[in-house]
Amino acid sequence: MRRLLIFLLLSLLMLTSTINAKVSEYTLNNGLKLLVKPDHRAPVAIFQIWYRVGGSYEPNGLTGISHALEHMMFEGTKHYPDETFSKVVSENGGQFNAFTTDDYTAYYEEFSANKIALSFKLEADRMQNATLSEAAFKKEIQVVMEERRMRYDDQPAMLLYERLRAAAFLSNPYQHTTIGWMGDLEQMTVQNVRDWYNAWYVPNNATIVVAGDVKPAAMLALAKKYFGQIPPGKLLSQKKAVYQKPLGERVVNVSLPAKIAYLYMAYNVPVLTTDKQSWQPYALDVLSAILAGSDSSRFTQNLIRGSQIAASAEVMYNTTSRLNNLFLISAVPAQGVTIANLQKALVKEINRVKTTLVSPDELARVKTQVTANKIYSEDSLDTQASDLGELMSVGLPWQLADDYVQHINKVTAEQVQAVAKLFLQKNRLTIAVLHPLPMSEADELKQQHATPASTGGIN
Amino acid sequence: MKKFIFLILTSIISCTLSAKSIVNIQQWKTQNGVRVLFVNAPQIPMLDLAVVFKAGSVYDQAHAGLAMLTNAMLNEGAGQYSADQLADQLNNVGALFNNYTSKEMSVFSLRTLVQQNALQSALQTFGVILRHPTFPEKNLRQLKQQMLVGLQAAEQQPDYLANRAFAKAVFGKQPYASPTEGSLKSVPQLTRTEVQTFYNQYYIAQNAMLVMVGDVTRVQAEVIATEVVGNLPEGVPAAPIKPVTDNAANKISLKFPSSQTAILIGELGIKRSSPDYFPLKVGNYILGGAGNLTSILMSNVREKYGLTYGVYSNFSPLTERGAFAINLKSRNDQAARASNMVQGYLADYMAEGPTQLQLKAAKDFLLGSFPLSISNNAQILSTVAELGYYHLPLNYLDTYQKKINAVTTSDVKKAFNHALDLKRLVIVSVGGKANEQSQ
Repeated sequence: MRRLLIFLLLSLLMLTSTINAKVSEYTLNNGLKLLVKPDHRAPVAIFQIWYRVGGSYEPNGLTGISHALEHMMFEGTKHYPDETFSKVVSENGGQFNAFTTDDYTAYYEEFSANKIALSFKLEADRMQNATLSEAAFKKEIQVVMEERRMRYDDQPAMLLYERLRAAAFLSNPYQHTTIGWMGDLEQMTVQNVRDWYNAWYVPNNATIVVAGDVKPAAMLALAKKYFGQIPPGKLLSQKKAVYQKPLGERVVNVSLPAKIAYLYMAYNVPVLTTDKQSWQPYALDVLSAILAGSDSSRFTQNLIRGSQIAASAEVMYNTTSRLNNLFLISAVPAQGVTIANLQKALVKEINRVKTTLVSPDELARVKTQVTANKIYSEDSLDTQASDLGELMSVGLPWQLADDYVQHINKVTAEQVQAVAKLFLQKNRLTIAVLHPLPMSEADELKQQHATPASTGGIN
Repeated sequence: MKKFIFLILTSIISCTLSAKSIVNIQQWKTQNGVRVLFVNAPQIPMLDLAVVFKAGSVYDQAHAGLAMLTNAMLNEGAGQYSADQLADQLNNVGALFNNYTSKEMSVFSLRTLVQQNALQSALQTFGVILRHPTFPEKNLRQLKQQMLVGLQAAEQQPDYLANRAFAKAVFGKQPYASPTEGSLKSVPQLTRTEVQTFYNQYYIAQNAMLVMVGDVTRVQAEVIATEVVGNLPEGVPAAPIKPVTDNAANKISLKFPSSQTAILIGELGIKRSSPDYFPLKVGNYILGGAGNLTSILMSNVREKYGLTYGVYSNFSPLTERGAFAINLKSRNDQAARASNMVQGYLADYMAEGPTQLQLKAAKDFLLGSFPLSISNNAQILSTVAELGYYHLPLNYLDTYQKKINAVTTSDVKKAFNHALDLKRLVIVSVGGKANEQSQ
């Protein structure tokens, strides 16, 4: 069986290298980067523009400003006032939106390929001419606050996550989430947003990615025509993020009206950007897939199906963030299981990785999954373009989008064990627990009669 | 003159070109009567399959959650294999397995590489899961627990509670009312015998359809179809779903400790086969279509007044009549204003219909973006599955743009007034009790 798996893996690896289309890379004189990945399967194309600014660029007091600016970019320019941008894109059959994360802000439009020039025209315009009026800001910041209420304030697990990050990151700007603290949104002014726009929305801080039924030379010509004359900006020099030595476990307790308890266990770990020469982030990525992520992973087979201690147990680890990040375990206890017992079971699984090498079958399976998913990702233009844009925006070479699979395939069982021992240590750990408070009077009564077993915490 | 002839020539050429289907769907039946729809897509060495059974929650009867539990139990043990073994067999070859339940359907999908070893192994496991589930007691207990935790998590959300109250008010005691995910009361009572009986009755050839999109030939596809669904017993087709009768007007307001109030406004809408389908598709895009940032509702409630992050209107047509609903969330202290505003725009729209300008903009978008909706295998699979399930003609995609184009402003107005009656409006709001912890 094992030999068969490894044979399959090798033939898949050859496959990925043959189906990956060539990417063309250009840099304009003003510093704007352009990547083009032709894909002629369907007569459509996606345009994305990525700005290297996001939540992790924001100082205290201005948290949430990158995302607020993203909203304001749909509020009109000199040439396309108010909602005109949305109207023009829609009337040309385009789908569009934008997203802001810790590390970048991106805007995209997907069109029939023959309309793609419109993206260059509109995005070049709003890179220079956003109106950012006082009246629009007063209204739009209310929309942003509604978004915060929806995504955070009324979601117990997200409020817990916000507090976890505040505790897990000491001097790393991932300390706050991209949505920003409500108090900061309340005191934000339109002048803050204008300054942020002027500082970051310049060609030398942006990458354009086009994927789809297009020719690279034609995209370069469009980029030159619409963006070529925009002067580069003077980027603020960013201080290097400093990291504090881990000195011991931190625990966050949050009590909120909720129906279910929730547990986060987050370890401070390096990523590819901060550990460039090293295999360690790849080994951590394999480790995360061994533990969670599919119904073959250990948390599912041992904790959800096997001992039935967890109702859910996930791992989140992003190798391609700009700064050191978290190896984040999130879990919900099964009914009647305490947070303490859930945590014990999770720690037991982590300890097992440290003491016993993962099996060759497990390792081969994870590698096959990663390789197959790379092939599947060719079905989505959005994924193909986003993989390139994300890497460029965090300071990694775009070639890694294709090379990633090869790196994963080099990871050994010993390396998986080594990173578990080195990084999944108590002094790197932050624990956050959600203790449910009653949501209604009926719940209040229930809780008074509940046995200690169903309400126990870890401290 | 020369130019004129040239014009005629090009129009003939473009006619013959458009006579070729946009998506070439091949169709046949397996020997046991399963309808198969297949699209050859050779560009990526992978295959997507979906097996759709008429086995959704509309057939739950008194056991809310039964269809979903049955669906989720299929890969919890099958043939001689445990759940873990089934998972490993699929994951060993990089296959992705998915299953879900909706009001009418129970769906199983597989994405696999077409490399010979991978394909063979994945299909074999997929076939065993569909045809020989064993429903182990231990796994049943665990899935029920998981459904209960899922329900509790959902009950933390004001919009989930609003949806549940809305469904009750719109569908009353009719079968579509049965919550697909079950309830805290119904799930603990579901038994293995009920699951086994439900499986025997509904997971049969007469209730099944297979859709495939990917890098295999027609000949291969026929072999695959036989392997995956060819052994299903023919069975007795599910009884037709009973027509749904109109709901009464209702106003429901629930207190909940959230900072926003979730609002749902709507009533019983249309069937998928309704002749009003296209006018309502165009008309709803103008009113509050998802993805339309310049719809009447978004331009006003969000863009002009900043009362919400998003407000969307939606028809959810089913074999019989499904719901029409407008949903939004707004800060507790301004929720009433937002709700009244939405009701006002709906009433105005029904009275006046769209303007010519609005209609043109909607058509420009719907026609222009059509190629985007069928540009990859995943989209083609779900589009073809929809055509197949609702027995729409196989040239549906070829005539789609013509049908959109034919819609007039008066068609939209007529269709809205035909489908909806403001005297039957159900208005649900959940929230209003500020959550002190989040202030």
